Order: sequence, then structure tokens, then C-alpha cells
Amino acid sequence: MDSNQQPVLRVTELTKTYTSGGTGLTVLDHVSFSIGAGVSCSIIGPSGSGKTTLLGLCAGLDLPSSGSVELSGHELGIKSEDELARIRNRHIGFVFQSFQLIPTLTAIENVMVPVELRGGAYEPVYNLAKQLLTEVGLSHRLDHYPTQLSGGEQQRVAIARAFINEPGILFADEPTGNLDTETGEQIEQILFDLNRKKGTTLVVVTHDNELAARCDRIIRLKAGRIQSDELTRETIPAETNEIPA
Amino acid sequence: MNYFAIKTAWRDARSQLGSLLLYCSGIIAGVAALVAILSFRADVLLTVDEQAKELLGADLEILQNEDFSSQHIAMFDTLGGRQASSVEFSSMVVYGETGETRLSQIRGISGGFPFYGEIKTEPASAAASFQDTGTALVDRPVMRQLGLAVGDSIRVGNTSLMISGKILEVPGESAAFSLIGPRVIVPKETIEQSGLLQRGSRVQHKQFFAFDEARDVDALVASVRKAEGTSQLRFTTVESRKNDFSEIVDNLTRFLGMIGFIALLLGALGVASAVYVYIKRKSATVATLRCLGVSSGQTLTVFAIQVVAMGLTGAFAGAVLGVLIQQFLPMLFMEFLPFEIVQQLSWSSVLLGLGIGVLVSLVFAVLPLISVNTIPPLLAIRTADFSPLAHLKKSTFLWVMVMALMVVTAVLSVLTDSLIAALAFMGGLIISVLLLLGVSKLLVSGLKKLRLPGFSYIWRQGVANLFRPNNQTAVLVTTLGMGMLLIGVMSISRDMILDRIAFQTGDDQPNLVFYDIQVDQNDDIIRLAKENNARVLQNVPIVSMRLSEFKGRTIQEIRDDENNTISGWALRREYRVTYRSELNEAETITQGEWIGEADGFDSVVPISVGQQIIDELGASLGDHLVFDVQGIPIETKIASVREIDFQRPEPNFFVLFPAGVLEPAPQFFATVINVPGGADEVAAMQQAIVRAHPNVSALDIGLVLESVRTFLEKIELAVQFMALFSVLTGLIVLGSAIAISRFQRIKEAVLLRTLGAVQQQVSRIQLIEYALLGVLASLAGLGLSLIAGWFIAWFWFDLAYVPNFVSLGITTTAIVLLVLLVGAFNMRRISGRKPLEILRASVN
Repeated sequence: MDSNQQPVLRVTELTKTYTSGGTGLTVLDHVSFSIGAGVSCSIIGPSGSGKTTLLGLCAGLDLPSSGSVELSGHELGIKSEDELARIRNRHIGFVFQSFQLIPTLTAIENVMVPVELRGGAYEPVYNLAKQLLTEVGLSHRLDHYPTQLSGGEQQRVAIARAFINEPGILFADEPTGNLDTETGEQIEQILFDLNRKKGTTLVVVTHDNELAARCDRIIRLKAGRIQSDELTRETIPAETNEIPA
Repeated sequence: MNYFAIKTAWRDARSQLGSLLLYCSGIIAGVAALVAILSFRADVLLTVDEQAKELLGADLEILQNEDFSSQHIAMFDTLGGRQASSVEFSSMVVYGETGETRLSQIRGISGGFPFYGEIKTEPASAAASFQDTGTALVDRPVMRQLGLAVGDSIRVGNTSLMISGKILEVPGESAAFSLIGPRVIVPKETIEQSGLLQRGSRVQHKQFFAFDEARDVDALVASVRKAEGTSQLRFTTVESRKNDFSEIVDNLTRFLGMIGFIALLLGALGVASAVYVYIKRKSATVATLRCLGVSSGQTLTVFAIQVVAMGLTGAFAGAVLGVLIQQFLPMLFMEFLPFEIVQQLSWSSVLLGLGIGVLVSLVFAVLPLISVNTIPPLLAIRTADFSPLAHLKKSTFLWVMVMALMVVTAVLSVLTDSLIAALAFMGGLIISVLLLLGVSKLLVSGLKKLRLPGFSYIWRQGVANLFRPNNQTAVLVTTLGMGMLLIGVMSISRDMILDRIAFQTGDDQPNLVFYDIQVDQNDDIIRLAKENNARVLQNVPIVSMRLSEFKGRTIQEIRDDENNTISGWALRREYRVTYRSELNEAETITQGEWIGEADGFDSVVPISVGQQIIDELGASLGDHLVFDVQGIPIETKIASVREIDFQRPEPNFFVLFPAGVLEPAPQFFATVINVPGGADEVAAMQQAIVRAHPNVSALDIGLVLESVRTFLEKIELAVQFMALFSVLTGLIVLGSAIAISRFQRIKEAVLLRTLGAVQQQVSRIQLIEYALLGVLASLAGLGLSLIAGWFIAWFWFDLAYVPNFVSLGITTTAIVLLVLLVGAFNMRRISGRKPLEILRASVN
């Protein structure tokens, strides 16, 4: 991995406060870190620690109360909603706990969506999607609708979809949370294999310590603050994976 | 009722009251239509009751198609009371200095008629003074049209009269009367001087009576009838006029009520669909309740309470809306009603509409409701896409369907007062709905194939959205399509009636018909026509006669026979008969042989009779009829039966004599001509003839066509107004369906946003979905209305069918735009959602 390259994700003094009934509730409190290219990083913590909020802010799904998020060189806080959508489309892949496939589209059509949204020609996109579905072991399920697929198969479609736009970073929110252990392990394997093969940065939000341990780095959140940030591998260049003091 | 069920029903419903209200909103428009029509009917009948005497203008009217004899007049004297008389007929009137002519409805009045109500004129004093001043009252529309003012003059026959007032209202007559021809009221003695009452004129002589309250008019009429025997006198009392009018109102409101009922049924279909989606979504809750030990009966009761409450709320909202619409409904019928409607809240109509609304929505909801019991408790621990209806026993399904149809038919038969009408209506409706469902499924599956790679992702996603689970696409297409079907059929029928008439008005076709031509005027009229470059297409002699014997029995004997089933109309009518040696284009012999020549009336005359008279008399080929031709009996035999196309403008006759019999009989002529050029040339020709022969009447086919068009458009407006309730129901059901699938829609939109779709792309996908829905519904409705149109054209009008695609296209576009509007309105709630919700799964 190139140690001179810029971090893919840089989070600086990120704070998110929700106001309800005149009372402010700070969910994230001055969180800072950065993650380099190709690194896998898990964010763990108990319920209500701010994991999902952090993931949402990092992926440009929400705007911070203060602080900044820089993703692939783009400062997210100053972008409009549509600009954020374009950034997500080109630089980010998502894998959700509940798969989130579009029920009216077949497996291959679901995989094609991110590239088709930018107006990609049908044929090459179809071939690429087919190749990805083959890689996740679903070459025989191309034309099946989500309701015709098992949970594990649906998540594999979601992973193929997440990789089709060759994102710089992939956010996975409890990717195995809705699956049984065996299927979960298969999904993890596919996720990490593709991550390595494509050189994508992987950010996983999870409760699962075993899954977290498979990542290069673990960020522990508690009450909206980073409790710990550890490298699980020696190979990670420290300058692109800035760990706050 | 189980207290637990009530409590649970409320607890379960309270967090989603808004959604539940939306589910039941489908029946609002239907109930509103029904309540509005029923209340309108109640209002009209109430007004008829209150103003019954004004409808007739007298307590008794005695009518005859010829002048009253001295015996009649002597008999009238013995009846007492206040009396007035009138003579009424259609004839040409020359209006103003410019000499414009119009076939007008002329009434000559003598005495204080109307005794009840008043002829309203401008100035108001004219109605009271026209008999004394010897002036005329003229209908407002024709005065406006020809730029006439009070003080101008008209010519009726040989007599010129000054116009002393504009007719605004005549008791018992609606404004639509003017469509038949302008009304002109003059003193009766003017008519006698005008020279118009010559042979051939169809004239009604009327004698009006006003009695003291105590007088029993019905008994009086009975005694006069008995004394008069076979005379041609016809009697109209306040009660009989009221009954006639009530029957017309009943027929009209029944017809409009049926169209309103369609909206209610479509709404109920929408409610049933919504209830099903609701119950399907509640599957996990039901399973949990069952796990906790709630019995199937209790579960059913919980949802039944919610559905009944939904039905009641929807029906109540509809009833309130119906009462509001009732206030505006008279505006649609203003020109057809002879009075201003007295409006009041008709509780019986409101309760009937409300009751029917609740009942019908419940009947439709039974099937999805009982499917609750198919939900297994296992669903509580094992999430699966469960379809309760698919697990219902087939026999249960069929029984419920049959019961539902029986209940709806019973409700309809109460509404229409006829089981046969209800059965026919239900049959037609079921076929229409099944066809619409079939067509919509066909279109939807055809569209599914349109998700071709060549189309953009936005388009393909918009198409795919139509197949969203629980999207109710077929139901939506059916409800919206039914509105389009009703409007389409109405518009096509109107176009066809007009086409049928216009078809006969080409360059070679007649455009002017003159009648009441006396023998000594006939040659001159033909000469005048030719001088004006007109072509005489037909010059037909007409002889008046009455039937005196049928199959060897006198008419009196037949009428006195208690078992007689022959129509009084066919026995008593004055037959206007022509004679010739050839048949014309409008006639086809269906039985027997046409004999064109006969040898005087000393032997039995072989005649040809129209099918309608054959049916009315119950006659058959070879039967003998004796006609009284102005005092001379002529014995005839039915030698042939004809089908006659009466829709052609030239004169046609039920009874046709061969040449060689009626030539010496007193007769008059009708002449059919074609005037080359336009309306101006036709008017000039008409004026030339009427100026030379004031008694001759002219029928301008162009003006008739215009009157028919105006009349049909007014009727169509009322029917389309009711059909709009179906469109409205479709839109409400659409709004409700969008609301039901709102979470799914938000989820899709948010997911697309998360995957990088910009707002415009998400909006376009949804707009494509709504536009397609509108197009599908319109196409389904349009397709079926075109097929219906083709059937009507083929079986009824017997003509090649060319639909007016412009007007149908406008309706289609309007429906698509309305669907887009409802969709766009709902999109506002979706577009503001943040992508973060997808992570929090808060849209589930």
C-alpha cells in the first residue's frame, strides 16, 4: 500500500447534536480520525454509542452539527444534497443489515443501479454486474427477484451492488446482523475477499467482536466519543490512519 | 361484544388513525354521489308536491287534436268552474323587419290561463295584457338570437303582431322547451284570423278548468269519460301530471343514481383492497396476538370493529359531502326543470346513502377480513411474506363472493325499485369490471416486457415500480379506467347520435322539409323551390284517417273488451298516410309482398304497415283493417310489413297505401328539398316560401341538428358529472394506495438517494410511474369504451363507427394529468426524507 497517499476518509472534530423539545442531545462529541486506502476498519460500541450516526455522517447521509468529514478529497459539509448523492454514487459503496434491495428489480438489475444512475450503457454494465454476481456465487440467480432469494443471497447481491461502481470506500452496517452464523461467515469472507481484491477501504459498523477482529483497525465508541482506536495489523501505515492521541 | 376486542381494536388503531381514515376514503365520493342524487330527487318531488297545480296551471285540462264540437262546448259549460282555452301548434313565424323565419311553438290563449302560477315576462305586465292589446309574447332565446326587442313585430300566418313581452317562464315548462322551437304566445282569436289552421296542421285544442277546493276532479273526469265514450278527448289532472312528472324524475334520478352507485362500488373495491393490504401488513401482529392466546373469533372481531368504524367514517364524510353537492346539483338540471327547486335536508336520503355506503363497503371488506383467520401463529417467530387471501378456502371465497353480489344486487334493486334492472346492471357492471381487470392485467404485463435494455434506467425503474408488492396497480387501473369508460361511452354515444343525423345532411341530402302544403299551394311551392335552384327530392301527398275496425271488430268493441291488450295509442291515433307505387330507400319489406297499384276502394285495398304498428296492434299479415278516411270507410288488408328507417329526415309513414285509391281523398303535401349552399341559402329559401304561403311549415334540418346537439350536450353534462365521481373515486383510491405504500415508496426513494440518485432522478422515476398508471387506466377505459362504441354503432345505429379521437384524447390527457397531480402531491412528503433513515431502518 502506498504510504504517501492521502487518507480516503478524514474526520475532524465531528459533533452531532439532536435537539428535541428544546433539549440538546449530543450523540457524537468531537470525534476525529482518518482511514487510508485499502484499510478495513470496524467501528464498534454498545447501542446508543453513536456508531450509526458516525457512519451516516462519514457517508454523507447526514450533516454534522460541527466538525468536518473529508471523503476522497471532498469536503462533505459544504456540499448540497444532490452533490452528496453524486459523491456517494462515485466513491461510496453500501452494505446494510437488512440488505435494502429494490423489490421490483431482479438481482442483476439491483446490482446495475449505481452505474445506471450515472447513465452507464446497458450492455457493459450488465456484463460487469453479471461478473460481480458470479464472483459472489450467484451466477444462477441473475433474474430472480429479492423475494425469491434467501437472506444470504440477498446480502450477496447487496455486496455485488456495493462494488459495481468500484468505490474508494465501502460502508457496511451490521452486514451479518440478519443472517445465521454460517451464512454470516460466508458473507464476511466475500466482503473481505472483494475488499482485498479491489483495494477498497472498508468501514464496518458491528456488534460482532469476531467480525471486528477481522478488520485491520478497530475504533471503539462509547457515549459519542472514541474510547479506543487500535490497529490489529502492523502493516497499516500510521500517517494515513491517524489515531487521535 | 367482547370488551377485549373493542379495547384492542382501539389500542391498535389509535396510533394509525390517519392511515385508517385514508383506507376508508375510497367510498367518500360514491356515498357523496348517492346522497346528492337521492337528496336531489327528494327535493324535486317535494317541489312537485308543493307546486303541483302550477305544473298544469289548472285543475283539469281537456285536450283534443281537433276543434271541440258544439256538444263538447256544451258539456264544458255544465262542468262549471273558471275556464280558459288554448290552441297549440307548430308553425312558421316571421320575426322582425329582417324577415327571419323559425318553426315556432305557437299557443293562442283565451281566458285566464294559467289559473295557478303565472307566465313570467319582461315587462311583467305583458303577460296580463297581451290578450287585451292583441300582442305577442315571444321566447327570450329567439329574441336574443335575432336581436329583437319589445315593440318589434312578428308575423303569424296572415297576421302581424307587436311583441309586447319576452317570455321568461311558463308554468309547468322548463327552459329546455325552447330547444324544440321558440315559444310564441298570442291571443287565441289571432290564430283564428291567421289562416294557419288548415288541413294537415297538427293542432291541439285545450280547455282548462279551475275548480273550488271541494270539487273531486278525478270523479268528474270519470263521469265525463263515461259519458263521452270513444271520443278523442284526453284528460290531465293535477294528480296525473304530478305522477307523470314524478315518473320522469324517478327515471332520471334512478339512472344517475346508478352511475353514482358505480362510484360507490369502485370505492368499496378500493376499500377492500386497502383493507387487504392493511391486514397483510398486520400479519405479524395478528400472529403475535394468536401466540398470546387470542382466539380467531377475537382477532376477527378486532379487525371487524376497525373496518366497520372505517366504513362508517368514510360513509359519514361522503354523506356530508353529498349534502353539500346537493346544493349545486339543481344547476345541472336547471333547463330541464319547470320550477325552482325547494331545497331542504332530506334525512331519509342521507340515512339511505349512509346505510348503503356502510353496507357496501362492509360487504366488499368481508373477504379480506375473514382472511385474518388464515394467519398462522408461526409467523410471529418466522418472518415470511404471507398472503392471507391465498390461504382462504376456495369454497369460502366463492360463497363470500356470491353473498356479496347478492347483497349488492338487493341494495341496488331497492334503489332502482326493480330487480330486473338491478340484475341487468350488476351483470353489465361485473362484465365491465372483469374486462377492465383483464385489460389492465394485459396492459400491465405488456408494459413489464417494455423494460427493455434500450430504455434508460429511470424509465425501467418507473415501469418496475408498477409491480411493487401491494401496489394495487390492477385495482387502480380498474377504478380510474371505469371513470374513463363511462365518460368515453357517453361521449361516443353523443357523437354517434349526431353523426347519424349529420350523415343524412350531405350535399345530396335533404336540408329543408316543408309540410302542411295545401293542394292548391303544391305547384307554386315546387315552382318557388326550383326558381331558387333547389332540388325537389320528394313531394308526398298525405291523407289523414283513423282506424274504425280491426279484424272485424269496431274500435269501440275492442276498447270495451276487458281482456284487450292492444295499445290504445295504435287504435286511437290519427294515421297520416301516403300512397305511391314504389317503396323508398328508407323502407324494407320484411314480410309479405309490396303491391304498388290498386283499383279504387270498392275492393279490399292491399296496404303495407310498419313493424312498430304491427307490434302495437298485435296484427299479422293478411289481417283486415277498416280506416275512416274523413267519413268514408275503406277496407284494407295487410299485404306487407316494412322496416322503416325513421331517422332519415324525409317523411316516412307507418301505413302506406298503393297508388290508385286515395288520390281523390282530401289531402295535403309535404315536400323535401335540397338547397345548395349554406345556412343563408336555406334561410332565404325558407323565407321565400313562408312569405308566399304563411301556413306552410318548414323544418330546417341544420337547425334541428343544432337543437339536438345542444340538448344532448346538456344531458351529457349531467351524466358526465356523475361519471366524474368514478374518476374522483379512482383518484381517492390512488391517493389511498400511495399512502398505503408510502413507507415502501420512501424506502425506495431513500435507498436510491443513498446509492447516489439525485433528487431529479427520484422524482422522474415516480412521475413516470404515475404517468404510466394514468395512461394504463385511460387506455383500459378508452379501449373498452371504443369496443362498447363499436357495439352500439353496429347494433343500434347501424353505421360505420369513426370515434372522435380529439375529444377522447382530451379526456385521456385530463385523467393522466389528474393522476400525475395526485402523485406529485404525495411526492412532496417523500422527497424531503434524509438518506440516513435507511441506516436507522426507521422507514420500515
